[in-house]
Amino acid sequence: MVSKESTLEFLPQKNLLGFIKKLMELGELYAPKAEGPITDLRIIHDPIDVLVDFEQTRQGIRAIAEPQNEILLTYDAKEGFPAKETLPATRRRIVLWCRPCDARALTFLDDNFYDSPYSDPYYARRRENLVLIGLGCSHPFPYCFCGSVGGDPFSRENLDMLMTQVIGGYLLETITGKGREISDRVKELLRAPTADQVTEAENIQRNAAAKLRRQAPDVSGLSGKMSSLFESPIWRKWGEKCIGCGICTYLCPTCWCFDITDIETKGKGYRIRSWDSCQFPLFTLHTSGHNPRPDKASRLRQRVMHKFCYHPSNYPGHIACVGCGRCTELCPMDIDLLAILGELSEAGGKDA
Amino acid sequence: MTSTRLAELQRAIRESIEAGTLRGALCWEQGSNAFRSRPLVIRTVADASAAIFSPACSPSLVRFLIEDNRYPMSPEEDRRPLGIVLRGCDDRGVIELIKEHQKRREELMIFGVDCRGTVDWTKVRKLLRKGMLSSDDLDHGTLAWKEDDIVLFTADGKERVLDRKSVLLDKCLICEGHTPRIFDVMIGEEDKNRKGMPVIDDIESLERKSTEERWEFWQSEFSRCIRCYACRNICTYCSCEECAIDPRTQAISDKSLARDKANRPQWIGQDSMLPSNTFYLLTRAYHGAGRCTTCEECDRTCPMGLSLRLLNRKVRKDVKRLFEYEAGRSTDDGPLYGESREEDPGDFIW
Amino acid sequence: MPENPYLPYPAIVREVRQETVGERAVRTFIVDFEDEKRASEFRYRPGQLAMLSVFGKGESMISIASSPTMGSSLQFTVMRVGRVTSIMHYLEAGERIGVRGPYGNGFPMDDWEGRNLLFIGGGIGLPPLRSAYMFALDNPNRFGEITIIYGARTSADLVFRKELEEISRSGKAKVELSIDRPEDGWNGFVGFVPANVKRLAPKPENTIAVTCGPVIMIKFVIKELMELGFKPDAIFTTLENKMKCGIGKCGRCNIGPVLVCKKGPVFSYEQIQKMPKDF
Repeated sequence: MVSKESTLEFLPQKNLLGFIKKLMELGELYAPKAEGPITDLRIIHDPIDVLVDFEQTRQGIRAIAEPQNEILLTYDAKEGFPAKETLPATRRRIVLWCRPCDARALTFLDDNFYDSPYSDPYYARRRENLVLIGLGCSHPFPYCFCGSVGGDPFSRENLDMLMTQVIGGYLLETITGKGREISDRVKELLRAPTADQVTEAENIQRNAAAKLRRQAPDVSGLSGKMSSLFESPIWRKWGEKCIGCGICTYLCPTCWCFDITDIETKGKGYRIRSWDSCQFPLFTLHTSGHNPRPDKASRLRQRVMHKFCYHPSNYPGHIACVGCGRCTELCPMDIDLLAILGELSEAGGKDA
Repeated sequence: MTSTRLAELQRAIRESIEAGTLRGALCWEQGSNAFRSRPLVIRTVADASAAIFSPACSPSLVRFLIEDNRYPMSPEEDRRPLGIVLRGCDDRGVIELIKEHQKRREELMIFGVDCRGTVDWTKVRKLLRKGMLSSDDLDHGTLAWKEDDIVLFTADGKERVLDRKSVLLDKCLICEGHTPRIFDVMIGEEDKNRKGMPVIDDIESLERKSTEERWEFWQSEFSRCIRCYACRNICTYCSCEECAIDPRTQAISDKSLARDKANRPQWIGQDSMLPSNTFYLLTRAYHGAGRCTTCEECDRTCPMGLSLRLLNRKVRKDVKRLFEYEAGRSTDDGPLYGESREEDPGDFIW
Repeated sequence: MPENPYLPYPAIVREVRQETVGERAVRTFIVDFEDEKRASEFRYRPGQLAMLSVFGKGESMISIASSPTMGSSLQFTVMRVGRVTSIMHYLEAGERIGVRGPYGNGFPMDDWEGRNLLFIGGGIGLPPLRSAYMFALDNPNRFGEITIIYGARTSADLVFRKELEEISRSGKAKVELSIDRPEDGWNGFVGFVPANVKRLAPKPENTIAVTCGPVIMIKFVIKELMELGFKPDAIFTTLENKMKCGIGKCGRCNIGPVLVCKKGPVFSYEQIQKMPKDF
């Protein structure tokens, strides 16, 4: 539900705590929180836990829309049937201060989970009740490159509200009807913005992309040369540096692969969905022992080509990367996605 | 490393490659910015010119000896040794691999280098955030050592000495020795003062906690784990292809029988809920007793910031106290779990 | 409310038939949905698959070996190869198994109207083909000549042997069986299936060839067919990849951009030639 036009309001700094408390009344609130030495989006039980000045959250919104562990159904461990489906509660979940790139990433998860003929009811329940209040990036992080993969530090895609930090508080832009439901309920905490504040925000938004330190090469043509890229020696060269962990895929906001397993404990059985990674050796292993992707080169190829060739060829224009930079920054061996993309855009010829 | 030393290292590797004595050599190359590096497999003379050795060389290359076993870097028939560049702390991991017969000493040609500390990207990020380092420094700077100083040569030609505590990995601040105890070629001089073995005297804050407090602490740490298995995959002793606590591994071949697959116990779930995480992390810590050489790569790479170095150092300290045993000391030692001595503690048995 | 695609429906095992014995035994399970409404709603095409579910062990994607013309019961012919299939082999008549589906694209039987159909199977590759040739046999006016070339390692490994011999005797289709190595009492062809195809030299005119079996067999059968003059768009096979969700969500069964559980497992050789060798 998108309202006819966005509305702008100002949230003074002194009302921030009240704003957070109100959000906690309106739904389950996720916000950037300190978790030991790292920052991540977590459920907030105490409003002062919300970090105001925070590092890039380790994970995006995938962990909220498609949790790492989700019970699909339960059954009696001895009897088996009847199976009882365990759909997530239709409870409003508000994500405060997700970054625009992480919100954009949901476009690709939506592609997958809503794709006909089957709609995933677990994802749908969570997704439809998600309210996203983004915080634009006035100062992008060192590994960000959203601007060159169709995004922007102040992109509004999939956001219900967008906040811009200005002197004295935040400019709050309400974008959708869902966002309006929230801003209507916090009216007493908001003010009309002054012209100066609006200009300040506009300047910040306009100048943010220029601050991006990194840039992807033009990747729009990659899905047109799929066959030649598939055979490229680039994969072996980079695959050799890989140790085969799951960091790149588990922290990527556009990844969604999962496994389904049965766990039984104390007489009850649970069929659960849990995250899986194409980087793990057994991901594609057949029971016959045959593995279509038997080495790190082929698995690295799958990860990169899925996001830049396969997904866009099935959903034109949807390059499944939002430029958050986590895969490169957190890779134990510094496997650089942009370096790989650079080599790919120079290599190979167009498919016939 | 000074430029002369680097040239020496590159030349040593190049000469071996040219002479055809090696099937390859493991070193580092420049990474995505001045403070980072990645592994480089050198097979040709041209490859050797990309080799670097600087404070940016944080990733341990020792893991790639295990990777080479599983995904060979050269054809099977090629029996020539594999070259590898080792820093002072790396020799312990190699000694353990030799003890466990993962590699034989003769299969390796070790280039020893003098390391004065490598950077911790997490710390560098903090400096960036505080404005004490700039994007320019990342993109156009170069890191080098001048004796024990970490020097950043900036794009505009200036030299800045960075505070060691603020940029280096914690383990580098208590370095046991700059050069490795085992090597075939030493670039520069050996560190005559090296002890080689870590001293674990910095974990009192953990040891002071009561059992309940410790359990709560570790439960809180373990709840963050997302089971990405980076700790297992980067570990210099985790060589088991099929691991009881890693549900991603299962040695299936076309010869595997149905009943083998059917009867294989599933020790641990695929999920990342706290009970499975606890089982995984604690079991791995104990499987590491007597094998973990506290290279602390698991700690460096954990994306969720688990206190793995604390956990592994605690186990190591206990192993020393209980068994007078230290992993990585010598290839003459037997394996901790593989030997039984009369003086081993047994009060829990009788 | 749309149904939850992850929920298996209970089905009762009516009959279990031992097709082959030994380490890699094969059994056919004939099942009926417990819920009649479900049974009447379950419409499938030859070549489609279903996820068979055993709580506590997991799920397995198995081809439906029966044709929809054969009544409402479903037939699954399962080789014992791993955890789930091993427990399935313990199932007896009267017990329950979970079924969800049908999944996959199935064979394009409508496109094959009026054509001769040549089925070439090896080992456990015959069951998916069976759904198609039984459909064709039940619709004799819609298709031309039907030929079934099938081989297995030994005569004991031939699935549906009696049924095939019946079909041969009835004259409704030409059946050519073979085994890999000589055996006492075997008078048929001895050799690999591709060699039998070469020997029989089927004509490509107005004929669709469908093959299924071990990957290596498929490779050589396609080679023989091409040499006989079959065009890539007249050769079909099924490509199976590891599948977990079966509904195009879990992301693991893709061959390049193609999800096998949705756009496959039936592909023409022409389509395969265009796909990256990701299988």
